[in-house]
Amino acid sequence: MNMSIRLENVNYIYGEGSGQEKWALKNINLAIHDREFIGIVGHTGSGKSTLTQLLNGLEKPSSGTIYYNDEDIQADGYERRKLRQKVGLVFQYPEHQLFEVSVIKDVEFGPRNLGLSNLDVEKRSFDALKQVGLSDDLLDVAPFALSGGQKRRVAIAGVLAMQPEVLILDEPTAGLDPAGRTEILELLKKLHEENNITVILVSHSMDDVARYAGRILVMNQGELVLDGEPQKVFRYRDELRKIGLDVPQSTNILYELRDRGMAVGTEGITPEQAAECIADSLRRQS
Amino acid sequence: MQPIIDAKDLVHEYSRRDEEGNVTGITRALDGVSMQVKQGDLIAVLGANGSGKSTFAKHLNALLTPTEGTLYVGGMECGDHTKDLDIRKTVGMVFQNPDNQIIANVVEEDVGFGPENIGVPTEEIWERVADALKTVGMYEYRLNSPNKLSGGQKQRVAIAGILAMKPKCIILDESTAMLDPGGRKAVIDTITRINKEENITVILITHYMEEVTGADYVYVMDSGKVVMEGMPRDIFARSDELEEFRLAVPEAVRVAMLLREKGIELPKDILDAGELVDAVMKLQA
Amino acid sequence: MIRDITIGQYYQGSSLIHRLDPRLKVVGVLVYLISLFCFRYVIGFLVAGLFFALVLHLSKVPFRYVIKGLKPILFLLIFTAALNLLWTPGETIWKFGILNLTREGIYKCIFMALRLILLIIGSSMLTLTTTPNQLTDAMEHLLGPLKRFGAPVHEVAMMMSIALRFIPILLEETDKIMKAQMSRGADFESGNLMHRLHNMIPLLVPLFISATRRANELAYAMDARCYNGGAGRTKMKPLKYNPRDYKGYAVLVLYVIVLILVTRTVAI
Repeated sequence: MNMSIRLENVNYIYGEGSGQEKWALKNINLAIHDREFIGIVGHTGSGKSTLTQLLNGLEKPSSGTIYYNDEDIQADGYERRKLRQKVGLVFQYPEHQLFEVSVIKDVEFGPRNLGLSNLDVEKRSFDALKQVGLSDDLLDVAPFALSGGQKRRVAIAGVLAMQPEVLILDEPTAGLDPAGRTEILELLKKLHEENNITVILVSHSMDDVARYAGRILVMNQGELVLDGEPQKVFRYRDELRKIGLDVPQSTNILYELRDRGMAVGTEGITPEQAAECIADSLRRQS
Repeated sequence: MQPIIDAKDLVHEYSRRDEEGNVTGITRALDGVSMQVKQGDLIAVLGANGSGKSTFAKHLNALLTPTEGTLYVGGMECGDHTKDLDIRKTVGMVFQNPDNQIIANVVEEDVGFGPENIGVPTEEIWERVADALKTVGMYEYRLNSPNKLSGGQKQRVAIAGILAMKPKCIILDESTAMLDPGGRKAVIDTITRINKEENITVILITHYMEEVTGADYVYVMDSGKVVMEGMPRDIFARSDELEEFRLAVPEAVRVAMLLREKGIELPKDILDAGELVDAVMKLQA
Repeated sequence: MIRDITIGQYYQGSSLIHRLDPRLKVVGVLVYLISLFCFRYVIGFLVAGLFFALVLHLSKVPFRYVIKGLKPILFLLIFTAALNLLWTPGETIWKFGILNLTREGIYKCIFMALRLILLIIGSSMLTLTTTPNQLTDAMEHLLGPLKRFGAPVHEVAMMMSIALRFIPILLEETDKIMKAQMSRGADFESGNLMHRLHNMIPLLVPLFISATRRANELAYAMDARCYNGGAGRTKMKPLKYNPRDYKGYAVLVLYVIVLILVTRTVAI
């Protein structure tokens, strides 16, 4: 089945009628297709968190329509609880939501709410924990006894166990050390490739998004300002800088070299690609 | 001159307990850490989550007491709790979560909290608060509620709160971990400037390698031990070891490394994008 | 939803009311609250209402912002109003089963509703124009004499101040955890009372853990900034009465006199 999310003229206004209205989202038009890996980048307060909460029906747009598989999710009688199962949302610092006495029980919370049989609940939870790479001997441990990175995996497993078609993650690497960050991002890559899940990664880090996402959405002050493949989006270095963002560090190095007169391609967005571009240019000269 | 921090073979152990409170095991959070810090230096302590770097930081502020070893802060021995207040006046600490260290509901009142505690006269508190807020660039927000500030701004208020106590040394205990890149840069720029202009020793505890490029000296911790130490450029040249300790070099250093692997002769100790660009341009010429 | 609660929130400003000595404001609010219970005729509300309007005007806090504070008690308000309206004995106007609408009931209902509304918005003026730190300073001062009997006045004041600071943070956190659990299929809205209470566990446990963690970190942060109780502490903003505060006390006394005169002479 083909999944799709469509937003048409979506606005979101905070504190409507209080005299202190704030536009969190302004006229968003957007289509998200099956099996995409999307990176959403923007400052704190750019509206990216609000956007994610609209996508799974936790918040309601002030105006405009959101379609999930061509159905209006705010229509009367639409089952938003089912939507939340299909569009899984992992909040920032998700480990703060853990509450059960053991890891496995916590992960079972979601599937149990779906009203599945005990066997299904256990199987899904077990599978989810396996997917996030948590070893079996930790299943009965209290979540609070785990390390920060492990807790976060458990929390992600808690959403995966609902078997969503779309997985949205708000800053899933916040506060983790470099190895922990890579582990989480590689996990997302694996879920995307092997489980055919659509992944929406909300991040501050252009470097992370550049490496993993196939399409980047740039948000600024509630507006969607850029939307496209990473290489395409990073052509707009000046525009990104104007809104206080930047291209990945590797791309920046290529731009710097070109600004200083070197004939070098600027399409590289990861360190590997940047090194390739520079090596190519040097080779051509000698 | 006497070092501001002088730690020798510091050990910190805490016991794990089961539900009934029986000791089930002992964890060594610090395992023989020695470190000497000169007044006015900017020192970075790098380490992955759980490497012991925060436990170490809390000792410098007399929030934790060493199990073994000796620790002198500004010439005062930590251990018996008689000197705690003097030690905390000498060494100020900025914590990780900006929300959990702001006490007052107005920015200026929060900055005044420390000076009030150490009995500074009212008029001088106002001067110190104004100076400190100007130093971190938050003076115009002095009447704001902290809840309305961004994470980076809150951390700068927290730094001002420490500055107003006129310490000789400021520790940033993973103070950038919860911030976005803009907030991180603002905090690092602020603290670097304070280090240079006010000659205040800075101990920067972090796992972001980009932040330590400007440090005078870097320590890397793992499993409660200091496993590497040296100038930033020497540390960055050892990226394989860093990876072993769950850390990663900045992207520019990584690009330089990949280029060297391709046989391009770049210097081994490239520190940042600027140096890499210079080096490549030199090759090209 | 939960973000809208304004009780205990400070509204930033530099109006005359904001600048008044917090002790005057605490005493003023106490006097005002007591005054609301001291008259039997609706005319009293005119005086009390005018006084409130004067203070509100001087404070430059938008009326809408103050009214928002009533939202959380709306249920209580309607409940008491209905109770008074339908169960007050007296001259019957309309009767249906046990429901008995009386002239006295209508009167009492209006009376209680007005009193409750003025109680809430009147006391919210204090928190809206006074920072919690000033508030605790004032409390500490006004309760100062109790220290002689060994009462931990400073400690209690500090606790109050910190509680106020963390209310908005914990409310936001509640909102977030609720949403996170709803994303995992939690249902906080349906079922009977026992069912709902049981459903609150996934919200309350993380909230409790978070509050404990925050308290722990805050204790470290206070220690690190040399907090050592009230002894030897100086004040950044020591309380000192200005001429305007004496005028404020005069206005307060005037209000009480006018209220007494009006409610004694006009019996509406």
